[in-house]
Amino acid sequence: MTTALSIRRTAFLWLAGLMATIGICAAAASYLLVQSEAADFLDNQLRQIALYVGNERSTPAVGPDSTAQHDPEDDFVVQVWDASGTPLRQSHPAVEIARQSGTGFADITTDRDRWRVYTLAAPDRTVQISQDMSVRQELATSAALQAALPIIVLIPLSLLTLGWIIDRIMARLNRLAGAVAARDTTADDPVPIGDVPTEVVPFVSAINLLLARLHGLLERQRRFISDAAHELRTPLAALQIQIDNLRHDDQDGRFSERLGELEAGIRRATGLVGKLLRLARYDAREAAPAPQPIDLVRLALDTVARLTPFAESRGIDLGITRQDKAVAQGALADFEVILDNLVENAVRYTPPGGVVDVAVSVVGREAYIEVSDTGPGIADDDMPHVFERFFRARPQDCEGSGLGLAIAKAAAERQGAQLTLAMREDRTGLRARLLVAR
Amino acid sequence: MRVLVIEDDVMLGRALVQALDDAGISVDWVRDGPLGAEAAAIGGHGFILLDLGLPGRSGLEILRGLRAQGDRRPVLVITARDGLDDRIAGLDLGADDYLVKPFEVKELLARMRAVLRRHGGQATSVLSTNEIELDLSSHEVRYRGASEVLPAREFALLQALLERPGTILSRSQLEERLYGWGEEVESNAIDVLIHYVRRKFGKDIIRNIRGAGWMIPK
Repeated sequence: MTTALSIRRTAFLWLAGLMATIGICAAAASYLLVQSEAADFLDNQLRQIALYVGNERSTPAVGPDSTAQHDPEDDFVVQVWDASGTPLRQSHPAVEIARQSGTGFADITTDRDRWRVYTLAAPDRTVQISQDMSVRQELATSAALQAALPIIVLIPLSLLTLGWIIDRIMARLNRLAGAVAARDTTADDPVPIGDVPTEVVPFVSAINLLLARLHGLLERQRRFISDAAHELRTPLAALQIQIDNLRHDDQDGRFSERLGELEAGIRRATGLVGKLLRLARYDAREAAPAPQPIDLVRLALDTVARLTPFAESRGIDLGITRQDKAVAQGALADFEVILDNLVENAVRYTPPGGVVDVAVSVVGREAYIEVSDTGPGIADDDMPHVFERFFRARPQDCEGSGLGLAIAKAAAERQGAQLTLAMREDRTGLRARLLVAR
Repeated sequence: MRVLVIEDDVMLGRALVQALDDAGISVDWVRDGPLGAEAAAIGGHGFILLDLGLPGRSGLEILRGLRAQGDRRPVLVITARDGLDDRIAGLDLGADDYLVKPFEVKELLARMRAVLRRHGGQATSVLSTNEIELDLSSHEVRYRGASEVLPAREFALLQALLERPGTILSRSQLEERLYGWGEEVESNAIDVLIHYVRRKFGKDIIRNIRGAGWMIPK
């Protein structure tokens, strides 16, 4: 998957391009402006010199300042002719620039250079001042560069600043993302928009709207579960009581057996309703009760005690084989659900006369509760599916619901415990193991 | 004693009325929240059976109203929810006990008796489950129709197991409860006591839990 170009990079590229363009344009504009300004100024110089230059060569040629360093290229070329066209003066005899006929400016190209020429044609004489064109261009260029230089220097500086600003903005967004990611699934307050950049507020508001809708949905599901519990259990309660009433009237015990079967049916339906509701409650992500210290041995003993009548009714020897002292943190109700389902499953699927062992062991920093049975176990092919809902790996004539292990798994996940199922090493039955961090 | 049943479901209401009637208890039955609150406010009932899921006004509200008025009559809550918080909420508001639907009639009657006993201030005189009743003053034990007065040690054994029905007690825990400090205890003393009790009432009265100890189911 390709991610869209990041805001940071996009903004950076666009702004960098924009600033470079502005810098180049500014330099070019100032170059042109300065060039025309300088041309006017230099032309004016040419004319002034032409006006004030004399016929005679001013002496001495060697003056107080005649040795000052200067580039001969910068010199003006001064030419004076009399009325007949005889040259009176030549400042640079080596340079041959033809005498122009009328007063005015002209651009002239000699075999060596290009010149800017001003000719002042008076009746008695003609004065002609010339300046090397390259000098004029150098002047204009350096002026333009000076104008553009600050801009060129500022471009990288402003890009650095820009990067820093974008990082700061992104840091706020990152904080926001962190706050959203760290939210509990049961928290129903909106994401606070106090620190959020204005431009991102609509986005956060949309998230909040979605959250509110989700919470509404979860709330409805929770209410549905509680309503369903009421609607399903109430008629079951009525049936159970009516059966007891019938039994009360059945003085001679003629219907005792059939009433017993009816009761077994109600027990089964009750168990199924309870399991469905519990699973629905886990799906609705109802918050687990607050964690508390749980004595795992106590938990195992209570579970075994609770299921002893059921084990006896099925002719199963249910017992405890190991009682290492261990305390875990969690919601007792969830742990009871897990262990109840594991032991109930083991008892239900083990043939009469079988043995179900519960063991609480501590190894290093880990504590685990194991439930081992002497039942038929689970085929290797079926093993990956045992935690799926309504999946029944074992004989279909058993009264199981196919939900017990799915519920145990969901409860274990909610408590951060690890539930695994495997054949015993000697393959004489199944072993469920609940691993609990201490 | 008259019992007030506040239950909206017709089927369950009828069954409850029939069951209580069969047990020789006279019943008044109202079918919704507001009527239930009214009937409860009139008084005259010695016991209230209250369903939590009622139309119009929830059972918890009725209960809260009663207790707010200083009405301390025994209330047994019937609820379809097994969520832990619901139970706690009901008991916090002053329900004396609760039953999760569905339940058996003998369970209902046993709970009602227990609540009434507590209200009568005889909490220490009788320990019981659905099947066993221990009279703490006369040391009489009733189990599945049989009744007998037990010697002190055998009675103490049953009492220890019945203080929290459904809880397993190990050999050493039982020895601690039954024998004083420094008292010489034969290694098979507990087994002998259990043997005597079982001979009088049958094997099922005390369950043996392999590897853990003994218990009496709830």
